[in-house]
This record gives sequence, C-alpha cells and structure tokens, in this order.
Amino acid sequence: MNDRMNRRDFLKKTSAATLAAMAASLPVSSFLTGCNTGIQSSADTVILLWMAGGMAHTETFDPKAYTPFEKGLESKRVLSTFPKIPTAVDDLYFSKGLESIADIMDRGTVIRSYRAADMGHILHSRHQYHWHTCYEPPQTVNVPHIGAWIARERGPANPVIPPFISIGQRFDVGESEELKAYHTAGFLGSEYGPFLIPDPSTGLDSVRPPVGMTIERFERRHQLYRDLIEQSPVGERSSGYQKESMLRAMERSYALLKSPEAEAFDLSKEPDETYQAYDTSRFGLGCLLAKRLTEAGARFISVTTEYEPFMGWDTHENGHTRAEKMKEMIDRPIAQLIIDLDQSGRLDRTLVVLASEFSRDMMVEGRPGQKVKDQVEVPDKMEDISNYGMHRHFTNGCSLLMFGGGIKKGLVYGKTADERPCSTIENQVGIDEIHQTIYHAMGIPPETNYVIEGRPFYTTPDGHGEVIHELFA
Amino acid sequence: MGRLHPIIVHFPIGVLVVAFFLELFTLGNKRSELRAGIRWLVYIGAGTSLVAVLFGLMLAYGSNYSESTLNLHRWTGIATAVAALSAAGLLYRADLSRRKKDLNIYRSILGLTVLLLTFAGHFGASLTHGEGFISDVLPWNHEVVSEGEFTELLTEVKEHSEMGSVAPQHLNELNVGVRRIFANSCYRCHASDEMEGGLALDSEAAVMAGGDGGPIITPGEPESSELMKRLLLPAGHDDVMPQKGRALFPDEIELIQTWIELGAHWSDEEVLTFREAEMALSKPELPHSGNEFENPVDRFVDIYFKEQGISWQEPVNDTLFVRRVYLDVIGLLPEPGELKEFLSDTSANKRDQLIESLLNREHDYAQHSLSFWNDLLRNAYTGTGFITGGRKQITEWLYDALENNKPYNQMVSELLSPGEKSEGFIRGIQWRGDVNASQTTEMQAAQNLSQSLMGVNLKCASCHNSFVSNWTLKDAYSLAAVFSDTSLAIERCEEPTGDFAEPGFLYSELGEVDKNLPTDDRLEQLADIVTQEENGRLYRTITNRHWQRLMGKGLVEPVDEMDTKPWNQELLDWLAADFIDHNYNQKYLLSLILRSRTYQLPTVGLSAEEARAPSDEYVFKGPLRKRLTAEQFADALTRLAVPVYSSVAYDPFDTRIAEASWIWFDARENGRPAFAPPGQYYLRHTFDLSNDKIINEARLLISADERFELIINGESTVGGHDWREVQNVDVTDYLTTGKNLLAVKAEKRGATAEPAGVLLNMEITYSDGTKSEVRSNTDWKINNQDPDPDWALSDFDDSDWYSVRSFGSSLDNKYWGRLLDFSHESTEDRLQFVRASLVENDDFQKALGRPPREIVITKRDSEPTLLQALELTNGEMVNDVLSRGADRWIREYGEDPEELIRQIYLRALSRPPTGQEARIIGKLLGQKPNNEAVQDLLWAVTMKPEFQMIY
Repeated sequence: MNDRMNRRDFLKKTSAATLAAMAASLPVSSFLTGCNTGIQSSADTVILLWMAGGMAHTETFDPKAYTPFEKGLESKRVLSTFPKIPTAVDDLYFSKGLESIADIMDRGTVIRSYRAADMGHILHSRHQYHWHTCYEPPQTVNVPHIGAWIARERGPANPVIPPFISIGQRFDVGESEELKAYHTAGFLGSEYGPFLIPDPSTGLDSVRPPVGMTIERFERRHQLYRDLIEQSPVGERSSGYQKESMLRAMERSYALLKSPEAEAFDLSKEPDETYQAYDTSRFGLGCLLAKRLTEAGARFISVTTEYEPFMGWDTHENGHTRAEKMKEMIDRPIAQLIIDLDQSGRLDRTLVVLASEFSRDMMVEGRPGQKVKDQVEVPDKMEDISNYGMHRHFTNGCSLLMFGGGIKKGLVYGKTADERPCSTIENQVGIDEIHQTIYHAMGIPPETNYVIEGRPFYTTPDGHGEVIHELFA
Repeated sequence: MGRLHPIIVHFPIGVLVVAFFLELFTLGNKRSELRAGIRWLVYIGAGTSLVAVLFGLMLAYGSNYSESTLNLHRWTGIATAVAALSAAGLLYRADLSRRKKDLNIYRSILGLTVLLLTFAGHFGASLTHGEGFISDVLPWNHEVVSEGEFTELLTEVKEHSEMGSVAPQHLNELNVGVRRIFANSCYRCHASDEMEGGLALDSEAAVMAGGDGGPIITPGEPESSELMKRLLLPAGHDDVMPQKGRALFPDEIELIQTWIELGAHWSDEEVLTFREAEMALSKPELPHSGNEFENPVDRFVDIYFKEQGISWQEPVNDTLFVRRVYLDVIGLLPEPGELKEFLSDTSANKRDQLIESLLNREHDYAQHSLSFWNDLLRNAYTGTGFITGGRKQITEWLYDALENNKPYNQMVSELLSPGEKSEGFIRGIQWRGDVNASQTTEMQAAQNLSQSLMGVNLKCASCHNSFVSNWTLKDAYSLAAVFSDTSLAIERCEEPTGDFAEPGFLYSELGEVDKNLPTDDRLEQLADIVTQEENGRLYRTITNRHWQRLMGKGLVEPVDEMDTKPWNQELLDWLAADFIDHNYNQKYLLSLILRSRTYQLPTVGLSAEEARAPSDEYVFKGPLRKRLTAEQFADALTRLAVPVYSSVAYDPFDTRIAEASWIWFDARENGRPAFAPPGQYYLRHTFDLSNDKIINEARLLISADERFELIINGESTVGGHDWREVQNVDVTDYLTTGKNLLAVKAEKRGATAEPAGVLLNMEITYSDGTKSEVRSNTDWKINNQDPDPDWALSDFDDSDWYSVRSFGSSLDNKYWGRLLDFSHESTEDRLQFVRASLVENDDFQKALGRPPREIVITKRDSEPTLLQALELTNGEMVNDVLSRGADRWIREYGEDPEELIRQIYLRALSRPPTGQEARIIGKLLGQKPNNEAVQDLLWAVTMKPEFQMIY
C-alpha cells in the first residue's frame, strides 16, 4: 500500500520531460538508434586489467633465453630471469609463474608486438595518459578516458550501475595529479566519468546508504526531501533543464543506493571457495568485483595492480624477486576471471584486455638507438641478486592479452626478436590500433567524435586508428 | 495537450515492438499461447498510435521545429498509425477466418508498422533532441552559409547578364561566394593540407589546376565542368560531392554554375569565411528612455524588449534579491542577521547600498572571484607539471589584484609582461618529455592569451589553418614567436614546413612587434599593443565575461568565440567603452550591471538546447537561473553546518602555523617507504624541563589522522577522532620539572593502508618572557605492538621501539595540507573560515563541477549527474559535515525545535519555513530532536533545488 503511494507520488513529481526521457531510455530507443551505428558489436563489456608501472614482456608473456643468477654474471647476457613454461597452446610459452594463465590461453590471444609511443623522456604517467586516452599529453582540451567514450556511446547496460568503473587506484600516492589527469571523462562531461573504487573490499560502501544509516532512515530522509520539494513555495519543479536533471539524478542515485543490484558490489556474497580463488591481493579481489559488475551490467571496468612510483611493476631494483611476487598476485585471479566468465557464458560478449604502459629491459632504456636519461645504474657484472631483473624502461615490444568479446582463441599475434633489444619484428601495433580494435568490438565506429570548440574530436586521433581485424574470430 | 505527445508516443512504440517480437515467436505454429496477449498488444498499440498522432499534430501546430524533419516525422507517424490500425483490423479478420493466409497478411503489415515506427521514431528523436542529436556525430556542425543566402545576388547577376554586362563588382561577389561555399563544404577534404584526389580548392592556381583526374572547371561551360557534374549527381551516388556533410543548397549550386558560366573569374579580395567582430567599439549613443529608466543597461534592454515584444516584469522581491546578490558578489549566503537588517531597511536605495557594501568587502569578494579567475587563467594549487617544477602559480599576485581591484588593463599588462609573481600564466605547463609542436609552452601562451583575454580560439590554427575560423597556422606561430627566446620553426600537423615564424600579434592593425628586441622587451611591447584602448576586443571580452557571470549567459555566446554576433551589440559596446572610460574598473562595471533592473528581473529557466544556443540565436528575457558552484555550495555548507575545510592551499592572511612534523610508523615495502597497515600505534617522546625557570603557560596543539588519546606524564589529557579538528589545550598543570613524557595512543582505521600521522606542538612561555617548544619530529619513538601497561610513564624503557618517519611538515603537507588552526596566534586576524576557493580540488568539489585546471576553463560543466548525486547522497564528506553540523544546531536550539527549523531555513534559504513545511519537519524532529533527525533535515534542505540554485 505504502509502496504504491510512493510510486504514484513519484510519478506525480516527475515532469513530463523526465518521463519521456525515461521512456526513451527503454530498449526501444536503442532498437531505433541501433540502425545508425553501422557496425556489429561483438562485446557488451570491456574489462581492462592494468599492469601499472611497466610490465616486462620477457618476464611474462614473451619469454626469451633464461640465464639463472650467479655471482659475477654479466648483465648483458640476461634476457629473461625465469625459465619458460608451456601453455595450453602448442608452441606458445610463457614465463614461469604464470601457470594458471598459461592453462587458459586456448581461450584468448596474446599480442607480442605493441610499441608504446616515443615521447622523449619516458615518464609513466605520460605513457599511461596516452594508453588510456589515445592522445599524447598535454592536449588543448580535457581528453576523455576510453572508458568514458564507451560509457557515452554504449550507455549503461543497467540504469543503476555506473557504466564506467575504475577499481584499485588510490589517488594519494606519488604522481597523483598526473593520474587524475586521465581518470576523467574530460569534455564529454562528468556524467561519463569513472566511478572510483580504490579498495574493492569496501566497494559496497559507495553504493549503499551512508555508513551507519539504516535503510529505514535512508528512506525517511529521502521522503522528507521529496515532501519539502513538494511543499516548497518557490515552485521547484518549474521549467529549466538543470533543475529537472538535478531531480532526476537524485532519484537515480536513490534508486541505485537502495537497489538490490548494488549487491553486485558486495564481495561477501561470493561463496567462500570463489572468494579464496581470487584473494591474492586488492588486485585479485578487484578481478572478482569486475566479474560481479560484468554480470550486473557495467560497460567498462578497469582493475589495476595500482600505480605508485617504484612499486608494483615499476621495478628499478630486485626486479626478479618482485616480478615473481607480481605474477603470484595476478596469475590465479586473472585465470579464474576468464574461467568464471566462460562458464557463465559471458566471455563471448566480454572483452578482457591485459596491458601495461610499456615494457622493461635490463640494459636498454627507452627505444633502441635513442638515448634517454637512465633511471637506474646497471653494473656490468652482477654481484647481488638485487641487480637481477628488468630495471629499465623499454617501449618497443610489449605484450598484451585479449580474451572473449569476439577475439580469436589460441592466437599469437606479432613477434619480437630473440636477441637484445627484444624489439617488435612482426605486426607492430600502436595504441591507435588497440583502441580502435576495442571500439570495434564494442560496435563503436571509427568516425565517432565529439564536437568541442567547433571542431570534431575523434575517439582515436583524426579517427584514423585501424582495427586489427586478424584478432577477431 | 499536444505536449503529452512525447509521453504517449512511447506507449505504442513499446507495445507494437513487443507485439512484433512475440509474433516472431509464434512463427511455425510455435508458442500459440502468446496469441491472446499479442492480440491485446496490437489493439492497444493501434489505438494509442492514433491518439499519439492526434497529439502530435496538435504539438506540431505552431511549433518552431525544423520544417523538413517535421514533415518527415509527421507523415511517417501518420503512416505508422494507419499501418497499425490495418494490422489490428487484419488480425481481427484472421481471428475470425482462422485462415493461415490472413494471418500472414496481418503479420507482414505488423512488420511494416514496426519498420515505419522505426523511421518515425528516428525523425521524432531528431526533432526533440534538436538537430544537434544528429549532427553531433557529423564532423561538421558549424554552419556558416545559410540556405537562400545567394538568391538575391543571383537575381541581380542574372538581370545584368541578360542585359549583356556583368559588373566587375558582381563577378567579385560571385567568386567570393563560391569560395565561401568551398571553404564551408569542401576544404575538409580538398585544401592544401588535405588534398584528396589531388585536388585543393583554397587557391586560384589549385582550383584551375584541378585534381588527379584533370581540370574540374571549364570556364564558360558549366555543363562540361567536372565540378558541376559531381555536384549534380543523385544523392547516394558513389561520386557525388560533397561526400561528407550536407548536400549543397540549390542556390549554392546555382551560384557555382553561374560563376563558371560567366568565366570563373577569380577575385583579388581576401575571403573571410567566418564572421569577424569589429576591432573598434562602436560608440552608440546612450538611449533616452523617458523617466522610467535611469540605468544605462536598462535603457538598452528596454529598446531590445520593445523590438522583441517582451514586456518588463517586476523585479524580484527583497528576499530573492538579497540571496542572489550575496552569492553573485561574495559567493556566500547572507547570515540571518544581515538578512534581517536588509529586509527591515526602509530606505529607497537600499539595494544600491547593499551592492556597494558587498563589493567593498575586499576579501570576501576576492575569495569568491578567485575561482572564476583561476579557471580563466589556468591557475591551480596542484596539477600536472608541478612535480618537476614545470609550472608556476600566480595565486598571490591574482589575489592581490582582486583584493585591490587592480585596473584591468594593468592586470593584463602584468600577465603578458610579467614580474616574478605573475609569470606563471605565460610560462604554461611543462609536463616532462617531448610535447607536440602545438603544445610547446610558447604556443600554450599564444592559445591562452587568445582564449582567456581576447575570446578567440587559436587551438586549431596551432596545428593547421583553422577550419572553423579565419586563423591560419602562420597567425598562431607569429603570436607564439613573441614569447619565444629562439626563432620558431613552423610545423604543420607535426611536420616541419621549413618556414620560421615572425613575431606579431593577431591583429597587425594594432601595432607591430619588433623581432629584434630581446624577449622581455618584446613582451612589454606586446602588453602595450594588447592593452591599448583601440583594442576593443580585449575590453568587449572581459565585459562579456562579467555579464555572463552575473546573467548566466553572455551577450556574446559562446564566450570564447567573440566573433559571434551578440544579441545586443550596442549594449555590449557601450558597456565596454564605459568600462574603459572608468579606468578599467571591474567593480564599477559589476556595480553598473548589478544595479540595473535587468539584473534584478526574475530568473529564467532554459531548456538544454536554449542554454547551448549561440548568442545570434538567443533571445534575452532575463537572467538565467544559475546553479551554485562547487565552491559556493561548500561555503554554504560551512555556514549552515560546520567548516568543510580546515587546511588552506593559499592563505591570504599568511597566518603563522606552528612548526612540527606529521609522524607515523616507518613501514617499508620492497625496501621502499610505504603506508603502514591500519591499526593501533603508540608514540612516545620524553623531554626535560629545567627547574631554573618558572612556567607561565604551556599550550599544546595536537591533531591526528585519525583517532588519538594524548597522555602527559601518565595522565590522559585530550583526545580526538578527526584530524581537521585541532585540539588546542592548556597543559600547564600536567608538566613537571625534570623528565616529562608525551605519549600518544593513536589508531588508523579502515582496511587499506592510507596516510596516517600525529602532529603536535607545545609552546611553553616562561615567567621571564622567553619561550620554548616541543614538537612532533623524528626524535619520537613508535610501536605497533600492544605495549607494556606502563608504556605511558616517563621512566619506561623504549629503547627497543622504532624511530618514527616524518610524513612532511605542518606548513605545507602533501596529505593534510596547511592546517589553519595549528597556530598559536590569536584567531582574530585570520581567515574567518577556509573558503573552498582556497583549497585544492577534492572529490566533492570535482563532483560538483570544479574543473581540473589543466586547460583554460571559461564555463563549467554544471550538469547534475548520477555521480554527483551519489557524492551528495552517500559521500563521506557531506554526511560528516552535516552530522557535526547537527550537533551544533542541537547545542544551540535543541530545546526549541520550532526555532531550530526557522533558523535553519533562514540560514539555508533566506526565508522562514511555511506553516506546512514547519509541520512536516516538526513531525520528524519531535519535541527533543536528536542528531539523526537534524542531520536528515539539513540534508533534505541542502538537496533542494531551492538551495542549490540561485533564483
């Protein structure tokens, strides 16, 4: 009874335009507009697994000759610090420590020929900005993150789940201002901006009534808000789009915070067994949250190992030991994520991408042949294991993984040399192609753009990014 | 009634589409149980589609939708209804006859209905969402040629050519028209920097040379000219031109044809494809407006209103006025006392007096205006570039300029030819590494000067000749060269052209820049050129910006495209000239506008399309209803509840902050410093007090992130749970001579490692007037284990405890900022409270539209969004501030709920509650209001549009 009253009340309060807009967001309208997107989508959701800090290809998905550590070992002899292991795909080898992912490679593609841009000084945050926006910083306008473009073009699959969700990055670490510069919807408007969940285990807090507030009180408080608007002598529902969208946004927020779908953010709802399988770290739990949010209808989810200068994949010393730990952190959860998505049948329409801003090498800093400032001293002969590892930034030959969303299964795309510098020698790809491929999978055509300051601004520079068609099944 | 069309229309859409899909399920005699449902859906769909059409016709009558789309929508809509009715009839017949054939006829008609529906819906969407809904996805949406524009010229030319003589002037005009058409419709693919098919249309030589396929024009013979052939191909043909953008209008095609026919003459005139505003201010006479209007603004607007057939409305009442003018001038809500004083004032010119007194509150005015100027001049406390010293603030200079109302010409001069404190503006942002040629710091300076101060956009032209303005690559490089110490090589789209730039200002008629001067002198020269009175554009731009700030929409809009036609050129130019006559005094200009009846009109709410409309399509009816900015909102919360901020990024009063270090556990990860895991920590510090001196007073300041208990010599002294609230305590009685101990039991809660710390400073004043200090610093010891029970006693042995790590100083801290209350100075000569404009951007302000200042921002994104509503509904900051605010209200008015309600309304909305409002709230609060109830009331009130908008 009470509920019905509320609903009627709500309808009464909602202006005609709001209703029309709500009706327009029903599937009918996507059916109507579906006709002019032009390309078929092969995915409805993208999950980006972000290896923050520069993941060495030779220590992960593109292993080279292994030289074990010994005192006095010549640095230049070392290409990989781990032995190879076989994968589920014939003749495809990964680096030791990635056994679980190796086992599922018959469900995805490895790209071994990504070349990061040449931006002079190699600075993580600038390359990250470039990777996530497809534009080299700085720019004359605020450029949107790829997740914001996808959120805008594809809209929420579920009206109460924010379409673009970013998991795992805190913003009080070093270079935080630079991180913020690309975690944005830019000129597309904050409506498409990232919903930030730094800690996946407390993600639920951001979609429930405020901590410490019972649901009854939350409803009462909202009712008071509605009543006071209703009673207001200044005509709060009179025309004006800002006011209308203000009221609408408040109702949507209320619906989300009360919605049973918010349980998607609640990791405690997972059976113990599943939870354990993912529980290696915040990153692992982030993968679990990404799985749940995919089911709930998010469009673009990024899960990061988190960027913090000199932490995570940003190994400038002890590279071997730390790469081992990082692999331990990512191996099981990523494999589990793919398996779970596959089993629930969602992998077919979910594109999972694993990537990093650039790679690393023991000897070469930057691009071969180009001298940039060394970040670290590498001795000719190693006396200590802390010198053993990939401590320098390297841009020409990075590995990516892609699963699901129409991507071929068991494909190895591109190739790097087996001698130093282990650079791309076949099928080189850049960020423009990677982005256009992701957009293509999402059914977003290359000419997609936004007119800002009188000029069109495309998803990839000038709309020229090429789809890598060979990747699609 | 017609307005119901958009609601009703979705009903048949939904119903018929569902019916169609269900129908598909029944194919092959499957799922026949669906039949009964489908039947109803089709009948209802047919009925409602008829209703929708009727409403639609009513709505269309007298509307101003674009006629061609409207016609398409009208006829497809009617066809849909007819088809739907037929489908219903056919279904009825099929049900009676039970013949398979009838059923299939019905099915195909239903299919047709859905197809028609798709088209009708598609056209309908273009109508309601505006042309922009469609053209936003086209690369070209900036129309500079309108249909029928050339008809008059064509008629004249025809008349003359029939008589056998066409004047050279007409030939010129013809050519200029053709070139404008080329620029608008063809340059995108056929210009010297983008030559598809080897063809360029932007010079005489190129046009006459033709493309890869040979000449495109045969003068005198339009029929055999390739250009005409291509233009006349049917739409959709593979070779038709233009391939992108709209087809040419008939008069455009005719113009090109006539031009070729008459010999394809090429004029020497320069073609300005896009409108350009005049440099000089037209100095219109101030209109006489009878006795009715004193204020010049009103006299111009009166004429405008008469032309537009708009009648003057009564100015808003005192209550609305006072709230509006406070927020617009100083950014704060009026205090109940101030409100009362104004309302009870009976003098006739009390509004003018209030305006003057607000403008004279220098600090409040400066702290409010600061946000606008920071956006405009891209000045930020944090952001990219600072990390490597590649960027510099101008805050101190800017604040001083606003506080002292520095004349605008002087401000501009100091920005362009800067001293040390204002050089940040032209120095730009250097983010380590190589940058694009279009983003060098010199080019940034050129772009920012153009956009912020001149209201023109040079961004496109810094890469290639602009497609949306008359600016060329050369213009942009010339201006950049003024700022450059070395000669600048011109690059087009990142490719060197081989040319070098000659320094010069955009408008050479204002003066030459001497390239032989050293940079500093050149900048001085530039400043003189830009700020001279003859540069009407500079003063028009700032005048327009101030108008826009107060009225919600500029006289010229977009505000950064000052070449757009204003909706009232005379008013704009008069105001700009008057501003110059009054010594470039910005407060004078503001006051003039504020005192006008125009400003004091009731606000107008616009639709999203109207709000976006450029000034040449906009009709002014009154000031727009604005939304509180992030800063205004935060400051209003501070006034209504408790201070939202406690640390300043910039402190104009330069309060002396006590020195100390934030200290905490020195956690390591991979041998590198990391944040310590959350949990309980124990800190100790012993110090000696000699017995030679007598202590007069010992005052201690302490703050901790997040919970703490301070124990001095074994005695619990003070505690806290919020680092923003600095505890300031007299601890004289806790101290003894000899060995003393400060012990702090502190806790960081939560699940992830986040910054934590303790900050302490004790100042001891002795009877002889000397002072000494004890601070938190790296001498302190810390432990993360449950310690021995007597750990808080001075003789406890802490030699196996760890040394603390410093997380930075109290003066300028990365995590906690500069905590204003961490000072032993008296509170009198300080900031009243930390205004939101003086702090770094945070999640709350960001959600409410405060931009990152990585680029110049002249208009904020004020669209309410879900993320924003979430921040307001369950954001930690809002709920925390309101909860602490509730405590404050209960302390003050807990015994008198009625008065509490009244005071909250007065403070938040500048009016008392109505009887009905008071009753609703009274029911919630009860006789003895608790924290939760008051907090919820504060929340509901602050979420009201009435609170968040300026009426």
